[in-house]
Amino acid sequence: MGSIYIKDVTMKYANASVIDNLTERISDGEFYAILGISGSGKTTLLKIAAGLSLITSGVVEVDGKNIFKYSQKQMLDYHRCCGFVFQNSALISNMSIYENLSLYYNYHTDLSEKDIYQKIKKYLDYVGFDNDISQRPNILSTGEKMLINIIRAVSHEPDFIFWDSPLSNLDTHYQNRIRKIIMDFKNQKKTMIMATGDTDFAFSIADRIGILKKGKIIESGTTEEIKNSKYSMTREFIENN
Amino acid sequence: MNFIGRLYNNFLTSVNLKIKYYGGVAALIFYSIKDYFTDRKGRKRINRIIVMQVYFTGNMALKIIGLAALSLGIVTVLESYYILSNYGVLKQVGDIINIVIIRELGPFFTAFIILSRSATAISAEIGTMMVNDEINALEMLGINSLKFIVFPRIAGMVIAGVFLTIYFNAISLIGGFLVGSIIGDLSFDTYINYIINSITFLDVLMSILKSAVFSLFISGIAIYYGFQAFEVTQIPQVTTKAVVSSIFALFIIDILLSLIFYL
Repeated sequence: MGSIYIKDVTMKYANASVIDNLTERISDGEFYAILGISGSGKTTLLKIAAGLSLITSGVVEVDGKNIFKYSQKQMLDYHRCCGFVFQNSALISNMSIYENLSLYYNYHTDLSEKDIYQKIKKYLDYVGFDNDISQRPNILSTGEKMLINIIRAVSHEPDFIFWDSPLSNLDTHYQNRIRKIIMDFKNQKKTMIMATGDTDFAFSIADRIGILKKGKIIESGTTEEIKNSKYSMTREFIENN
Repeated sequence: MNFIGRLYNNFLTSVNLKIKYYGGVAALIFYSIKDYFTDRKGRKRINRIIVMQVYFTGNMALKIIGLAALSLGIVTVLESYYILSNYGVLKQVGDIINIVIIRELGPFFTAFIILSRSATAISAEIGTMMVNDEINALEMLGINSLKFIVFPRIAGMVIAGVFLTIYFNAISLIGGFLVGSIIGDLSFDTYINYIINSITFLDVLMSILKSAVFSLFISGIAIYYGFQAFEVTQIPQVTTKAVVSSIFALFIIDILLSLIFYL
């Protein structure tokens, strides 16, 4: 598991196309970066691939199966194979940091609290998080929230990881830490899609890149192909970002 | 398009929206209950949330409901006492308390307080969770939000609603007795006798059933509207809609249940 095939997908919101007849294939173990300015539809595309947003038309196949034909249970099973790093962290505000992190294990497994804590502790040490996890997430800085967000998304070792602008709104210190974490997961050969406006980072880490503009992929290819593209819109995007 | 055509289209749109709304609320209630009972996954954690919801809706509303119940009991007996004693039918005070408090205002007032305190909070809470992607975050962990978010709130509100109604009725009876004993030397034994002779098992059952159904729909409507928020500015809008729709639903359900039981 797993490849993702997005075929002729259109997603309309209030009669406007957010994603417009888009087709893209992400192979097993590939790191695909979606580059685009704000409002280009990056987050929506990511949510569609993760089965979080409904589509108006088209097909999204994961390992050859259309996820939008899944039953509720099948969709939840697909979600369990995914990790989604949200741009705004999306930590559950009325739960403690520990409860946010242990939620997956408490819900899906019969592991003891001690075992769950051991699993979580391993990741807390890995990302270098040293704040009090019995507190609510509102005490955390944006960077710390992002670290917890990442642990929650990856601690159950998903096959797919979706990164929604993981470096945005962070200072250089946290940007560097998170760059390193993303690089580590790339080395584990997980299928990953990252939405970002950070051209340099995308070029430095992705296997393939798609440039998104007004809901359409204007060009996609390997990092080298995009870097050396002759296509005027791609050149313009790279030069301006 | 001519005027009739536009009118027809508007009518169809409005019918469509109503079907979506009623269908949405019914589906939320039905599937959340079904998912909870058919899938044991996460049951321990969900049960803990139910307890928290009962505490939030029930325990924290005791003061305001106690005050409202005491006032209603006092006023009901105070208003009826002199008229009944002038006509020599003081024992009818039990019937009045039964009709006014046990059958009608007990469950209705309780539901109204729950609606204004807890339903609005639930609507705003879920709206905020929607806007902040917290619901999406749960779904991405393979957690069924119908089971994890919807069911505990519905169950919590129904359990709390039933107990608060029983509490409301009890405090109202105490209020009635207090004023009766002060203004008319009504003894405790006589008062209890009047009450026992007037209130049947069906009346108590009706009171409890009404409060359960009220709470079921208030919570369903509040949650439904909470899920309709996609931007921060929509949170107060959906909360207001939840209140208005719940009040409307309360009146309709009250009439329907009274018709079913007493006709």
